[in-house]
Amino acid sequence: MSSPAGAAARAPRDLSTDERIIRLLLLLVLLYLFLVAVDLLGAGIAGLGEEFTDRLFRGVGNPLSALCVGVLATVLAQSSSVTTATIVGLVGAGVLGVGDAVPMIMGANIGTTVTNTLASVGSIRRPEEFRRAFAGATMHDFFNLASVAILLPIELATGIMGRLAVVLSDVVGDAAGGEFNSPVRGAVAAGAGLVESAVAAVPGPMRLGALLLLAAGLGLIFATLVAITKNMRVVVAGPAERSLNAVLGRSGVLGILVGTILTVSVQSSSISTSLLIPMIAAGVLRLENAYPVTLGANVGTTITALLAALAIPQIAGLQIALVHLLFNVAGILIFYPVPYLRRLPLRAARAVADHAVTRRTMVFVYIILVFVVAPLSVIVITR
Amino acid sequence: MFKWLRTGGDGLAEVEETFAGMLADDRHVFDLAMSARVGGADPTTLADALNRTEERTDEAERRIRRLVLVHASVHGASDIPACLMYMSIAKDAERIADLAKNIFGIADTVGTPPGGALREDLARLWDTISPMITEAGSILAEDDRRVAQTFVEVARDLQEHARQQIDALLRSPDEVPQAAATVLTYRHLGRIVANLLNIVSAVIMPLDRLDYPGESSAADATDE
Repeated sequence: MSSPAGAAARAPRDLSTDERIIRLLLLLVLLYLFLVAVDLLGAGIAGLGEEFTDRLFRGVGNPLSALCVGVLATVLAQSSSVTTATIVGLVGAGVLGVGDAVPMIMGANIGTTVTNTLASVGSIRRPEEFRRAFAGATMHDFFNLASVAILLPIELATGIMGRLAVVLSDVVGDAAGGEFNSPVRGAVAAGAGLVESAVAAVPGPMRLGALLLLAAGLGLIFATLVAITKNMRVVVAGPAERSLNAVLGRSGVLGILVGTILTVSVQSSSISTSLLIPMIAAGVLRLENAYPVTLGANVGTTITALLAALAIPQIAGLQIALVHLLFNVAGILIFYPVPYLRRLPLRAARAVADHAVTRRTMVFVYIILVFVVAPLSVIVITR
Repeated sequence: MFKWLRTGGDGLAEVEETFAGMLADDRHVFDLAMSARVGGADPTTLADALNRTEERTDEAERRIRRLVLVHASVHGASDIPACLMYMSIAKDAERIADLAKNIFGIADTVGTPPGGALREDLARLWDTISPMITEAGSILAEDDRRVAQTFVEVARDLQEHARQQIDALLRSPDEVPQAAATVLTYRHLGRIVANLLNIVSAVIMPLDRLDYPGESSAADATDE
């Protein structure tokens, strides 16, 4: 029977056309501010001087250390989008070489999985539910760790993804000349120029101005990405719900497609993969069906770095963004087509989840060890 | 392939649609059961249609659970009251078909309808309750408190009437009451055990398979 409380709860949820238009306009504004932020970050870093940035990024020439910086930065920001956009800015400013940034980009992929692992801890008091939730979260960890374990040595040995990115970037820019005529560069430079002029008016040493630009860039990247995610989550809630319903009983390419589109829309793989955890925990979404959505989220999250590259006049920014895309696509091409390889991350996740259910303190040990202690130790040792 | 991107409305709209279909199936099962119990129809000719329709209500309930869970995951806490409400009323709708099937079971076992005034009374209840099943869906969809209040009063009167009839039958001096009383006792014990089973099955079964422990093993359901 319809109770008054129930009736009141069933208010219509669809966005009106006006609200939809306003939210899409807001998205455009936020995207513009995001690009301005990437530009400011680059200007701030460049203003700090070569000696300072050399000291700051000393050690990232070691790929393992760079990988761990990527993991740790993403864990701290709780967003691989923030990390990858920042890396694009640093590469664009010439502080980081594309080769040095590749492991950092891969580390961002690993770090981003901490969010859904934390989301799975919500079920820790209900063993069967937690077993499924933790397996659902850690399958993403294992897939990304395995992809890095295979692709990082290949990339270090051959530089194949970097070279492919150069070839691809040559289509839209001048790879040899190092220039990228981004279609929105002029508009972004105008906005960034206003902020830079305002900062230049602040009395004090040059380095203070550079630090202000750096802080403004980082803060604005973080704030705009959070705002974009919140705004788009409302806009895409209906399609997201329908698409997730569509993948409930299926796996495969549709799932990858759904994961990609969903993540591109909300600009956050953490959000799209965390959405899956309650469904996996309840047993409504099987691990096999959630797996391709997670892989799609890996591809979808590369849109942020590609967007950030629009703010950078140097083609190196676009190249590192393309490496991010190529790395995630390559991971899927290696693991997904072969059934035996496809099942490996799932098996590992189930095995870990079985242990986690019986020894729940292991969950916290796992999270702290994989996402904090191990990367931090490597960074300290290799510096 | 991209139909899910084009269609309008959110998951709760789909839940409402599924729920309306469920009530239509409930009414069909109820009409078939009452036509066997009171209308004199041969139960063997109705059994297949009745069982198929009743199974459809079971699947609709599971579908509603899945839809509600996905909706709650995507929309977060804002729609939790509506989600819980649908979980609850979907269970009620499933029970209506289940209980109607029980009435059909009595018709199938006893073979003959009750005689005289009892048959007339049951026929009157059939005529009254059958449209109420689908009316409940429209009241829910239209969210009309005044009509809902009238409906609740009619339903309470019917419940009271059924209670009085049971009491009268149990006190009647005929031979039947003792057997009827025993049947009712077993029935209530069975319902108690069934509800206990539902509670315990929550420990081992995924949400969309709760209350259906016989259909697959707990091991299947835990993604082993």
